[in-house]
Amino acid sequence: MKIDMSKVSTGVKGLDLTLNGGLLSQRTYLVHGGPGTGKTTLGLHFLNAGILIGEQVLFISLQESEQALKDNNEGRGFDLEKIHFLDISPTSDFFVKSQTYDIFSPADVEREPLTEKIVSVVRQIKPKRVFIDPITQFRYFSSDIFQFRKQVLSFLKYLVENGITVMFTSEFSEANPDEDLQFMADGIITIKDSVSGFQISVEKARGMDFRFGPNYMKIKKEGIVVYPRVVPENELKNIDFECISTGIEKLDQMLHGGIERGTITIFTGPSGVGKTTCGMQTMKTAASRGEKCLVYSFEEEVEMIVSRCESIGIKARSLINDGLLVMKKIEPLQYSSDEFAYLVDTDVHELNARIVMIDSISGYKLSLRGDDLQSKIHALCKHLQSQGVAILIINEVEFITGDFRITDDHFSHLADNVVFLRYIEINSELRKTIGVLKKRLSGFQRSIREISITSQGIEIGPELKEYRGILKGVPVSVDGE
Amino acid sequence: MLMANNSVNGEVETRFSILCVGQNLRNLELLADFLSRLNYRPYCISDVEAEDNPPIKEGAYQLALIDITGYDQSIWRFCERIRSKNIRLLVVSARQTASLTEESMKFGASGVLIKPLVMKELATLIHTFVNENNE
Repeated sequence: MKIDMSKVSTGVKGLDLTLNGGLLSQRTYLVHGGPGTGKTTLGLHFLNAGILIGEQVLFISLQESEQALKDNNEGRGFDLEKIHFLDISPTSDFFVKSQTYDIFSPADVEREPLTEKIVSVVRQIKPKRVFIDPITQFRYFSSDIFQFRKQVLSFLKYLVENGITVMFTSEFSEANPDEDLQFMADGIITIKDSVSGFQISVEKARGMDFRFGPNYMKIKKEGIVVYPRVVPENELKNIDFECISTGIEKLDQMLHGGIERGTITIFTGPSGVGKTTCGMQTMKTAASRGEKCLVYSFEEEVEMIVSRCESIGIKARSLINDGLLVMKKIEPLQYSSDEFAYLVDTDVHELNARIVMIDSISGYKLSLRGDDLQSKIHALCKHLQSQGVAILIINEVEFITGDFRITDDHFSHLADNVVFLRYIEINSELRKTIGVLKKRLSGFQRSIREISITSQGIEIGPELKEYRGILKGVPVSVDGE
Repeated sequence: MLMANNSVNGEVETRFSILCVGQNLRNLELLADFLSRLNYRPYCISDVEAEDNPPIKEGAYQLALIDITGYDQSIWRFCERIRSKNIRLLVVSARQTASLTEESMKFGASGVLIKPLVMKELATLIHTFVNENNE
């Protein structure tokens, strides 16, 4: 038999991306997961994808009745009427009409009629896709493990030889492990329920390449959505590190021209010091040049940021109306870090965005739910960087004065550029300062300057040469006064 | 001993008759279906004390399969009746104990079979018993 290497969609876009296009046709795939993890829903997506391209599809149900399946999945956009159901789940008659028996084993009583039924339906409708839910029920039709293995193998082989791509689920427990099925299947898709939500991963896929590792998954009203894990490229290719202005003349001078495309810039400082404002000025300047810009706000409402910008002369609203500046409020408790990364990646591709601002890391951290901040933000930033996108990260440090720290979360190694903002107290007056701490692609001014935000915009003053100890927040005059 | 039963469409019925006794109707149904497929003629009884049961006559059955599950002492009296008519009987039970085997033998059983029965093995066993009877 010639091996068909064409791919078939799982019906879940994000999962297809993880599988580099989909499943190999005429193979067998095990969907492995605990109760309530969406195995059946995934099967319906798989069958529905077949319907969309005009294929005949078959759902062999050994547990849930056809009617229950239809009721539970109504409104999810599946064309349930076009799915052929072979409902071999026990009916209520089994209980009511005393259909229980023990004289023979189920293997002897049920296997033969069941096989006949399946073969007859397969011959009749000639499906291209079959979903069996759950195949582990066949265990009860087998006299021993060897028979079960032999029967399942020959059953799957029969389906594949009839040109069918098969997806099947298993139910497993400590007492009934499903390792044997894992060995039999050409591929394994595992769904786990973790603290951060459902995670789906491809653990095995014979004859094809796939992205290894867990991906965040949600079961929404419309079905399953998979957010493929963003993976950074190994090396940066063909990136033009063109310098772009921040829109703040003095800051550009301090940065020897501005920040470069394809770099990661951290604006760091305590609350209310002007980090977001500096970032928004940079975004507004880029949008004014006609570049598509994306801002993700984890804390403030978009309207609040826009109003604040407008009040200090950063005219963001017209750029939003023109579609050049796209601002999104992200509720961190509704998004996982993978979901957010997928959103950003999708937006960047759809809009061909050139600059992305994430405001702020503290909000982003809430979406991690136990995941590691450094690896997640690293993956996202490096992935965007590899596409030549300039990334601005707003980072809030906890302490207003005291020992200077770039971040509280140890991710400053990621940054190509670090712009810090600090409060200083001079003569019982709180003032703000700005400086550049790091710039990988060029030199930079090492001076610390005063910054003020007024209705006229952002103003950066001359170097504060007359003070020392500014980074501690309580400077002293160099002449001792 | 081959028993000639009622004639059907002028043909003489030559199948061996087997008496099946048990309380679970689905069990009896499956057993009857199984025996029919082997070309035996099954007679099923659920209530061993019912008055309308077919009469137990010598030579009426080649074998009796008696599933004792759920019965009280009446099942042993029934087994005795069977034995008294020189009909061989096999006791079927969900579990095997020394006392059950002893009791079964006491009331004339040729053996005790434990559920679930394996169809292939049961077919061979019945074939052997029926042929022994017929020789």
